[in-house]
Amino acid sequence: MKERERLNERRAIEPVISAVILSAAVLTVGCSVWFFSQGAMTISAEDYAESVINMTETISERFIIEQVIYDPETHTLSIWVFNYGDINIEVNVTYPVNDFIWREVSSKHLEEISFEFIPDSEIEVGINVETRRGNDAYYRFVLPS
Amino acid sequence: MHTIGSFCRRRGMSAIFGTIIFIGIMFSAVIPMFLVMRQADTLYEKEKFEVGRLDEEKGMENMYFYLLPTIVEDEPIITLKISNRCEIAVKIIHVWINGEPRDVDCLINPTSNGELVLRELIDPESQEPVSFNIKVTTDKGNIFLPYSGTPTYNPELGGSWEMDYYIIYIMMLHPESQLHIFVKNIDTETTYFDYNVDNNEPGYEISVTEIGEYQIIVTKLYGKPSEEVLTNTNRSVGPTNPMALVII
Repeated sequence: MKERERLNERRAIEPVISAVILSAAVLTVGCSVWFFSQGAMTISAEDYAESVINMTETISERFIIEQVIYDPETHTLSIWVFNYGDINIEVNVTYPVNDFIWREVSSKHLEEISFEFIPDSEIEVGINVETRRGNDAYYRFVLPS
Repeated sequence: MHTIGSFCRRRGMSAIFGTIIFIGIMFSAVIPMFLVMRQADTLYEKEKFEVGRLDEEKGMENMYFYLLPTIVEDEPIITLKISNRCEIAVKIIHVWINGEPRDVDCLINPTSNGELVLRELIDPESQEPVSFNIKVTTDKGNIFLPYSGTPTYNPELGGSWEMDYYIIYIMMLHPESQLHIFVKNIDTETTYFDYNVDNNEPGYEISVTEIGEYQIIVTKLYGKPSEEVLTNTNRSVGPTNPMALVII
């Protein structure tokens, strides 16, 4: 009788081991999925937040070309850009001359951009200024005769 | 049997672990991600609303101004008489004088008048006549030009404003549609303007050729009370004050 009980107890070890193995497998896979999903979702959330912040800054940019002056003696074209928005911007004159130099214009500040410009025969010059975030401002300027 | 039963019940442990992990993933990864995204969306919507309001206010800004050149103690001075005709305050932050910016800080309350005095306009050593192209910029990015053209100052012979004729401006804060304007030189009894005007212009410009004192009477023709005299005042014009302003 005692021998039989001992055998029954030995048989009970198998479900215990299988339960432990199954639990370990569930824990291992589950933790892996947990950490992976946590990392992936953190990255996704950060990417999303960053893209939304970039989009927010893009729509927040407000600036104008406030004044343009051309000096025919020195062939200098001076452009004043006024940033009346709440964020700093970087601007580049793309037309009539694109020098690919980005100049920072702080919020609520006026910045003068001067460069050499020899007009062809036009009496009017279109001036285009764009920001690094892709917004632009246009100004039509009549050259002094 | 007791031992076997307890081990058999532990078969459900993996299901419990799985559920706990699923809930853990939900609370530690998915929900924070949605919260961060919602927060970013909220910031975006807030900013969109604010820039939309700024654009709306920029579109609402409406003001006009006249230049009143005078000479005070041999120094030419230009006074900007500004009328804010919109429902929001207008803040002037730049004045451009012949392409040179000056930082100013001039706040004009809604539907009110204000003035800005510009001094140190000329180089004291220079004897060349100078014309003054003036414009102003507001903090919302609007640029306004004066209604009153380009005054020219000649420093020769003690200094005077060069004008082909003198101007009397009648500036109306609340434009009326039916007015009668009467302008007469008191010294010579010459009547320069005696007409009904029928539009909603913010101001009227009356050119006069004689130096002296002028009587200006503006009458409102219709409405209640009818034929109400809005103003009956005198103004002088001459080389030192070539433009006079009457504000109603």
